[in-house]
Amino acid sequence: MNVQVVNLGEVITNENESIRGHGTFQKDGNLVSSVAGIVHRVNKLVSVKPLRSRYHPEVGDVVVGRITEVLRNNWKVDIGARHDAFLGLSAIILPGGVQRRRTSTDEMNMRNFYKEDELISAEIQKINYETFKISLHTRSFKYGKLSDGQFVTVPPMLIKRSKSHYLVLPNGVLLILGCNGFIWLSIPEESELKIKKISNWFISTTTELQELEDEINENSNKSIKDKNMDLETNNFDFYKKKEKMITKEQRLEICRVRNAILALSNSFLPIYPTSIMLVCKKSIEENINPKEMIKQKNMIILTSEVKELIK
Amino acid sequence: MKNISGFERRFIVSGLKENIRSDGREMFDYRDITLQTGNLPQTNGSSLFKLGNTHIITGVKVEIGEPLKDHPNEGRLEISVECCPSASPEFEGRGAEDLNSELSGAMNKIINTNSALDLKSLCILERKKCWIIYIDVLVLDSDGNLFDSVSMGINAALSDVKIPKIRVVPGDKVGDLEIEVFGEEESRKLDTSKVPICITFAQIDGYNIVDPTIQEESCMSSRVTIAVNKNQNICGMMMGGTSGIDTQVLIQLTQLSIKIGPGLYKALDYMTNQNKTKLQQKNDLII
Repeated sequence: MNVQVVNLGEVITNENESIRGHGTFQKDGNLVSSVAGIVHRVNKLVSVKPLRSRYHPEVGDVVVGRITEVLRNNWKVDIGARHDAFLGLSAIILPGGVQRRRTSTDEMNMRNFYKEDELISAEIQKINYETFKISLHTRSFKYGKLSDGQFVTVPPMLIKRSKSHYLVLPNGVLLILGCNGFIWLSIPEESELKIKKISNWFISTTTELQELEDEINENSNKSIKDKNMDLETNNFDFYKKKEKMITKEQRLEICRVRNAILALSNSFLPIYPTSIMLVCKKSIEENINPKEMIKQKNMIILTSEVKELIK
Repeated sequence: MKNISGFERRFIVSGLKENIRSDGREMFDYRDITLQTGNLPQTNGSSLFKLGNTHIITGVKVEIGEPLKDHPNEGRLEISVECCPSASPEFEGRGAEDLNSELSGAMNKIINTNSALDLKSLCILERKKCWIIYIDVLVLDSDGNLFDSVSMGINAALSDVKIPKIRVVPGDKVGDLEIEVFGEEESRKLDTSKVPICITFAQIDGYNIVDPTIQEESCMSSRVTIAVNKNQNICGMMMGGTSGIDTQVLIQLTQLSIKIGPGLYKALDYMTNQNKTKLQQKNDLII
C-alpha cells in the first residue's frame, strides 16, 4: 500500500491537475502541504490529513467528556475538541425512563443529574458549523454518567470509528473508546458474561480473531441489556451511582488494559479491542506484571505482535 | 490541580485499600526512571531526567564571582526552578509563579549547604573570588511529583559538572590578581556523594503513597517531602497541602524514606555509569 507522508512545506504535486483540499496551499504553481501528515487523494481532490491534531468531531461519534460548567438548562462538556460541547437538559434520560417536558424544577435539579468535573459518555447529536456549537445527547442506556473506573487519554487519531464503542473485553473489563481519544475503563454490571482467562486465548488465525470480536460484541450487548433493566426499576440511582464492589483481580485486569492502551499509544498504533487483547495476551505470556508494562523496554516487546498484525 | 470527579477519586481510594494504584504500582513503588547526562554541550554539566511522564532538564554553569560577606571562604550555588507553561495547563501565564518559588526555595534549602557539597573547595581567593554554580532547572512536562524529579535531576547534573582548572597570576596593575582558566581537559569533578534527593509522600484518605501522579495529587489532602542522602541521613523536610499529618505517621514516613533512598540512588548511579560508558564508547569510536 503506497502511503505518501509529507512534511510541512513539502511539495505534493503540480497544482494544475488537482483541486486543493484541507491541509494544502498553493505556492509558485505547486501544491504544498501545510501540515505534517498523510496525503489523501479522491479523484482530483488532494488533501493532507495531519498525523497529530485535536479531535475533529463528527455527528454520531461516541465521546467521553468531562462536565466543566452547569448552565441554565444545559451542561458544558470538555471533549478535547477546539470548542466545548453542550449537553442539553432535554437530551438526557430522566430517572424512571419517563418521557415528559422538562420543567423549571428540572432546571433547579440539574446538579442532581450531572455535577462539575464528572465524566460522561455521550453521542454527538448535531454540529452547527456556523456557531461551532456541538450538541451531545445521552438518550441511550449505554451513555450517561461514568463511575467506578479509570480514565485514560490517547491521541484521537488512534481510535478508529467502528460499529460499537461500548465494549466488554474477554477478561471482564468494560471499555468505552471515545472517538475523541478519551477512554473509560471499568467493570460491567453483574451478569453472566463469558469471562475467559486470557491464557485460554489463541489469537493467531483470522478465524480466531473473528471469534474474539464476536464474543466481545456478544458480551457488550448483554451488558447494555442489563443496564436497560436497571434503569427502569431504579429512580435516581442511575445518577447517584452507588459504589460497585470491585475485586483485586478485576482491578489488576483494569490496570493491565490501561497499560496496554498506553503502550499502544506510545508506539502510535491503532487502539481497538483486538490490538488491546493482543498486548494483554503478550504480557501474560512474557510474565510481565501490569506495573512493569509501562517500562520502555517492555513496551517494545508487548507491541511487537500488533506491529506484525498491522503489516 | 487537575479536575477529577468524585467517582474517580472513590475508585483510586478503594484501590489503595487493595494496594493497587491506577497503573498497577504498589503504594511505595516509584515509576520508571530514565536519565541522560551531558545533553547540553554549552553548559558545564547537564541532565535530562524522566520519572514516568515528568520530564526535567537541568543545566549547570560555573562562573567566577564574589563570595558573600558572611561566608568569605566559601563558594555558593544559585538554584532556580522554572515550570514551563507547556508542562501543564495550570502553568500558563503566571500560574506557575508560586510553584517555581516553592521548588527553588526547597532545592536551595537542601542542596546549597555545606552538608551537601563542600562549598569551601569552591573558594578561589578568600574574600575576593569564588566559584558560583548556577543551576537552572526547567520542568518540560509534568505528571506529578515535581519535588523528587527536580532533586534527582539536579543530583545527576551536579555529578556531570566539570569545574575548569584555574591559576592565579599577577595582573597588569601592581597588586592586581588575575585568574587564568584552563581548557576542559584539565577540569575536576565535584564531590556529590552527600547531595540529597527528595522523597515525596502523598496522603490520600489516610493512605500514604510515594511518587504520586498528577491524578493522585488532585486527590491528596497533604504532602510530605523528605530529603535523604546516601548515608541515610535526613537532610530536610517540607510539607504541603491543606490538612495536617499525625506525628506518629510522620515518624513512620521518615523511617520509610530512609529505606527507599538507597534504591533510588542505586538506579541513578547505574544510569549515570551507563551514560559514561556510552560516552566513552562514542569517544573511542571518534578517535
